[in-house]
Order: sequence, then C-alpha cells, then structure tokens
Amino acid sequence: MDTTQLLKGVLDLAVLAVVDAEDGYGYDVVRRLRAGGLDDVGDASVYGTLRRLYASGALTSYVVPSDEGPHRKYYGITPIGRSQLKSQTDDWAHFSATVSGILQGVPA
Amino acid sequence: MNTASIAPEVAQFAEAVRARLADLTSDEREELAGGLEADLTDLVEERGVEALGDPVVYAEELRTAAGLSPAMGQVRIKKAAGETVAGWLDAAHDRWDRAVTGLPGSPWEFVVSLQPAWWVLRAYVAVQSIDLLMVGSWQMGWVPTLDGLGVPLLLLAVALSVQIGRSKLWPGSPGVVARVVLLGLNLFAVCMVFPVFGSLPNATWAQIDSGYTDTAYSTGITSNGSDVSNIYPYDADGQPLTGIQLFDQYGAPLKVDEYAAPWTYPWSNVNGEVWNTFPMPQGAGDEGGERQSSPWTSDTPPTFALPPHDRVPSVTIPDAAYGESQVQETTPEMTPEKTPEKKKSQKSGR
Repeated sequence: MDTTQLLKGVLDLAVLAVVDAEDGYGYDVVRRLRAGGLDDVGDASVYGTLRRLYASGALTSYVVPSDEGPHRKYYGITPIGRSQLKSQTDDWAHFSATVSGILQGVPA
Repeated sequence: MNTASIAPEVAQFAEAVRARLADLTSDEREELAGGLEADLTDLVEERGVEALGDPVVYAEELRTAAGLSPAMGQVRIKKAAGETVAGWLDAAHDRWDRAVTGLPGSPWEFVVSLQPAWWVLRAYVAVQSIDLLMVGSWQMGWVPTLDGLGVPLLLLAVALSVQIGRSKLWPGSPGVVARVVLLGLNLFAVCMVFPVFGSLPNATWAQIDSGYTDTAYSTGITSNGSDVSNIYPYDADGQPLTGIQLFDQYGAPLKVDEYAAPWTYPWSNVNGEVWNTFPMPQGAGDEGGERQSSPWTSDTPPTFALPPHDRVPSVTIPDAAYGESQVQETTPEMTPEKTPEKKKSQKSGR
C-alpha cells in the first residue's frame, strides 16, 4: 500500500515516538520506523523531520565520534518534544477514530 | 572525522546532496546533513549501493521534510556579495547613462556605434600583448608574429571578442562574476593599447620578416640605412692604412655598431678598449657564439681582413689648408700590386 501521502501528516509523531523510546541516529530511526511497519518511509524525509523537530526544540542532538567511520549524529527527545508527542498522540487517536467512524458508515 | 572508511559512492552522494543545500547557512547545512555519511553508510551496508538513488531527489526530500523549500534558492552568501557588486556596477552604469544622455548631438550614441571596432581592437591588443610579453618590444611588428601563429591567433581572437561583444558566447546570462571579469579584461585591454602601439614605432614588413632590429636602435654608424661594421681608411695616395682613430665634430669617438658583424675586436689604449680605431680586426666568437672575452690569447686570435681594395685612386684638393699639397696626378685604374712602403709626401716635380 502506498502510504506516502498519509505518512506526511504523522511522520513527526512517529519519529517523536521512536526517539522517545530510545535515542537514535538518522538511519537507526529509519530502521526502527520500518521495523514498526512503515516500510516505504524515505530516509531523507526522516532526516529532514529530525532536523525540523530539532530546530523547533522538540529534539536535542549530539555527535558521537567514531574511530571506524564517519561520526554519528544522535537525537534525543526534550521535554518540549515529550509534550508535543503526548498532544499529537491524543490528536491522532481522536482523528483516526473519527476517520474510521466515517469509513464504517461508507458502504463498501 | 575519520573519512577513511567512507565508501567513495557515499562520499560522492553526500557531496552531491550538500551541493543542493548550498543556499543554506553552514549551520543549517550541518544540522541537515550532519552525520549524513554515517546514515548513508548504514543504508549501503544494509541495502547496497543502488539504494542511494538520486542525490537531487534525496536533497529535495530532505529539504521538504525539514520545512524548507524543496528547490535550491539563490546561494545566499555569494548572492550577498554578488548583489553588492552588481549594484555598484548598475549604479555606475546608471550614472554614466544619465551623464551622457541628452548631450547635444548624442555623442555617446556615436561612440556606441563604434563598439564593433572596439571588439576588433581589443582582440588585436590582446594578441599583441602576448607577443609583447614573449618577444619583447624591440621586435614588435604590426602583425603579431608568435612563431607564425600570430595571424591565425589574431583571427580567432577577433572572432571570440566579437562574439563576446554580441553576448553570443560568454557571459551567456551576465552573472556578476562574468561582468567583473569582462570589465577587468576590458580595462586591461585599454591599458595595453598604449604599450602595444608604442612598441610599433618604426616597424616595417622587412623587420617583421627578418627579425632584425630597426636601424633606429643602431648604436653605431650607418650608411644608406645599413649598419657599418668596419671602416677601411686609405691615405691620399690611395694606400690602405691601419690603426686610424676617428672622432666626430664634437671630438667624440666615432664607433661602429659592435654587433653589426660578428665579431670585430677593438683596439686598446691606456684606458682600455677603444672602438673608434680602424680597421677593426675580425675573429671568431667563443663557444657560446659571443665575442671572446680575451681574444688575443685565445687559440683563434683576431686577424685583419684584407681591405676591400688593394689601392684606391689618390686624391687631392687645390690649395690644401694643411701640410704640403698633394698634387700628384690621380690614377683612375687601380694598380694590382700592393705597395707596402710607408706613405711619403711627394713634391710635385713638374
């Protein structure tokens, strides 16, 4: 199924949820989203989202240097991010229930 | 950062992505693409190089998700400086236009109509400047030589210059850098007009063909426009003389061009070499083809060439103003045998 359009609205929420569970670097977050079932999430979209959430203060970031290869940029959630996650989770639950209700009224 | 273990494909891809972020500040770029190599390395490890895809699309996605415009805007840093310079140029242009419009007779329009001539001239000046740098000003001709490439180069330069003038070639869309470069080149051409034309004082076709220096630069006596390289004096009896010192009407030594005939060697007096004593002995050059520094002790000392005439007709003037008059009859035909005896004053016996 093509969830690209649907994803756009909820990517912030999904990324916040993943980082809230555990700090992660870009590709790590992508991997966890995919493992969670968002198969066709684009790498660059996730990185851009991380950057935007960081810019808005929802995330913090720190660089972990590596001897073997390029340094990794980790993201962690901030109190702002947590409250944003909470309110967006509530919104999502309400919104999806509403849409589901509408869809149930539509004759198949 | 240790870059040793980054695959070249990853480095290339990351560089291409960053190039599409060039309009952002370095901080923004770092926030957006920091750690990119690490993420891409993981991606490649997991799903192969082909998973990288198109860096342009990737950068657009990155920008969009970050809340920026997907297409790259004008590069801001360069734009700032560029805009300033472009502004100056435009302002100067406007001031000039205001100054020259409305002048009686529209002289500026006339000047503008001469633009094509300038395009040709600046091409000529450019090629001649190269010639000037390469061969020096003493050998400049009206036609650039440049080892025979002068004429084709000149034609090429004219074609390029005219096309640039018509904005057909470069700069296609006049960016500020191109404008500044063009302005600089034009100023250079203007500055070089005088040196180039100043180097063409008496240039002639013969000079261009032969490469010989013009007689205007000769340092010695000339005769009928050619350098005199040696002088063979004869006395009134028509006998060749040796060791004659010559001076001009001011008492200055009368010299021949020391480079006119490789190689003449000077006589000497107490003060050193003198170049006004004739005939000058002639000799070989050294290994370097230059005049020998100590010719008289070398294996090939200079020698006197035979004078051009064994004898010449004796000469006389009536009422000689000095010494005894020479009233000997002149013998128009030359006597073949040389008379080595010293010149004697002969009284007329008739």
